[in-house]
Amino acid sequence: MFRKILIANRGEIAVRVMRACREMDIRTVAVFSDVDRKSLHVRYADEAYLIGPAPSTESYLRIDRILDAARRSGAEAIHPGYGFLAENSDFARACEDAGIAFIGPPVSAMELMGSKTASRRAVLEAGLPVVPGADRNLESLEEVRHIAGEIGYPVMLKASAGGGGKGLRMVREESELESAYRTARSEAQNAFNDSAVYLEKYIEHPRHVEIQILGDRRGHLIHLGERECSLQRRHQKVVEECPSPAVNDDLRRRMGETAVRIGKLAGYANAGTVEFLLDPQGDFYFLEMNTRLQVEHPVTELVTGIDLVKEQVRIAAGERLAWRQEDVRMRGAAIECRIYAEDAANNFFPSPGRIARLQAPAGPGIRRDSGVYEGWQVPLEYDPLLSKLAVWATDRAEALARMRRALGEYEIQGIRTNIPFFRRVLEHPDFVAGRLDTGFIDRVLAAGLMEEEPPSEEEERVALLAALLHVERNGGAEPAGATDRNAWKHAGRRALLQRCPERAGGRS
Amino acid sequence: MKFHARLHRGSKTLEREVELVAHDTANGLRRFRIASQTAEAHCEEITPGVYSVLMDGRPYEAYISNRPGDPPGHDGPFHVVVGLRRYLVELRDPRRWRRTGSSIEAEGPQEIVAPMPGRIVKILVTEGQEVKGDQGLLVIEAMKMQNELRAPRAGRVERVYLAEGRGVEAGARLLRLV
Repeated sequence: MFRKILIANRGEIAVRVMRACREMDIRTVAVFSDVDRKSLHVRYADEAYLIGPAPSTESYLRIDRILDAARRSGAEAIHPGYGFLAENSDFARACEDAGIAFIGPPVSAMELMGSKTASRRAVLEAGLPVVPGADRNLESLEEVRHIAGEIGYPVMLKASAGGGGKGLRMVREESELESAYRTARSEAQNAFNDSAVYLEKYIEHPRHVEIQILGDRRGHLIHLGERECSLQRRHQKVVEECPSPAVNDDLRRRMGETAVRIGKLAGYANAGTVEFLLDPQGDFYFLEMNTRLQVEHPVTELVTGIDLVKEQVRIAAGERLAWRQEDVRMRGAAIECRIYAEDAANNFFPSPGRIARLQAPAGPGIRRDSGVYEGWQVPLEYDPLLSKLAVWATDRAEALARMRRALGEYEIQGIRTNIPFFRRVLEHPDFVAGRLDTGFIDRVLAAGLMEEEPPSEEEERVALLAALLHVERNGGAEPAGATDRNAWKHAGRRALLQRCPERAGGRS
Repeated sequence: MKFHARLHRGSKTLEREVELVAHDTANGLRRFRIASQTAEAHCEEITPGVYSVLMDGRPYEAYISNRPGDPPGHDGPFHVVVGLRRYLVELRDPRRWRRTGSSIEAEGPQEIVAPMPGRIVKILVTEGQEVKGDQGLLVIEAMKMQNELRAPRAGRVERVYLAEGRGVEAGARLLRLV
């Protein structure tokens, strides 16, 4: 087993990996950028090394500097977390070349599954389900018409160079095809300087359901059931649960076996996730594979009792996977909410700044993976994920009640968060009933999910009373720690005192 | 201590004469007056800026902070969070405070400032354009996300101070809405 591991990441996931290492009696090495000197992962690690300035291209994405830190510290392995270099096969190869174990899949599997088109082709050739369509550029309207007719409407036109919804057109029937084709092409040309488009069957009201797989380097590969990840905003998952309300034992077995076959054809080892679209009829289609630990891995851990990070470390160290498929048992239900520094009441605007107050939920069934602490300044250079709040309970209904309770206990002040948004989502009748699809969040937001009810008179009285108490208590001075103590603040206070000379003698 | 208070929430403003009266040491209650109504509550400071208020047995917690970027005024305005709602409270001492009018402008010209450092990706309006409340004005990129800044109210864009592609600091003037 390794004695020392470097974690090439920051925030909550770096802390999560270090926690596993500490329990395994492995020493941990953090790397950090200028602005992360006071970050939790740096404070938590056994050793920490500066790798550059704030922009991630100059720090967390610098393979050379990360490997330098690994050599300096004598780390024998590197865990990449998720994001940054986690799916960069050059990084994995550079680690291996430097004689440092990369805690992730083999380079060849990463390269095959990392390409959307190559992985789709490989899955298709193996006779496994992918979303029907043409995985090549379509040069003429006739060609588009022909293929659309073959796979059946509705279809989706997509820019080959695409992303971010540009060059994306849904076509319900043939009469719409011509104009949709032209606009998709011109949008793609404007956005990506490449007018190439391809075509896929449009799956209506799809769920996003993914299967966790885990395998050792000897070809033993199992699945750990599914995660329901349909709740997404801007193509980013915000709530995940395990099990999915839409998956029964039979479907789980079929999806799981498909995921394991996909893993095997890629020669996959370590932890990975196979993403599927699940349609309302119960048919599922391969979407893509994530060749790393997922953000939402805690819900699987809570329900299966298997610590994925520890398994990743053991597999990378060459150990055999101790679990057989029949040993994997799913027990109870888990839900996770991703707590972001963004203002849910104001169009989810990012809200960096200082966490003036933090009170975390606790008690039965709560798991909180956090990368922050009270008094910390949330930097604006990185992803605004503050923490992941997960709960486990004996069934989904109890898990929902527990999550509502935990969200009610979670208090973060000084910056805005999306906690108020989750409180409402968890009370939405469709969510409670498990009626989810990838359009859920946009739909409920458009329907006024975040509209506030007017406050009670009593609450308004409390707001006024609190302000009075505050002024009496400290003459309106800021609460300690509400913002940075800057020179301008004292200058402002002096200026104010000069403006109100009668007050300079002290508070009245 | 007698104050003229303004309580803002969204586009609504409540104006009241308010006063914190006596501290009754016998039962630990604070007496206060809002307009002509006098009431009592158990009040405790939990940590600086955090107050626990028991109103007829019903518990509330209020968290108070200055608005970011504001000088530390003695009378606010403060952000006051009670439960899930955020209020802006101004307390004006009618005897001392000489400034006229409110610092919160719901009408009249309004400078739209950058809520955070970032980069202007796209400007969605032009000078002279009439906009509706909540209409998108421009797109700022920060924290790896593109975010639309929307009009706080209806009006006309009198000036656009910056060009697309520019980096801005928090509080930088972006547009003037009249």
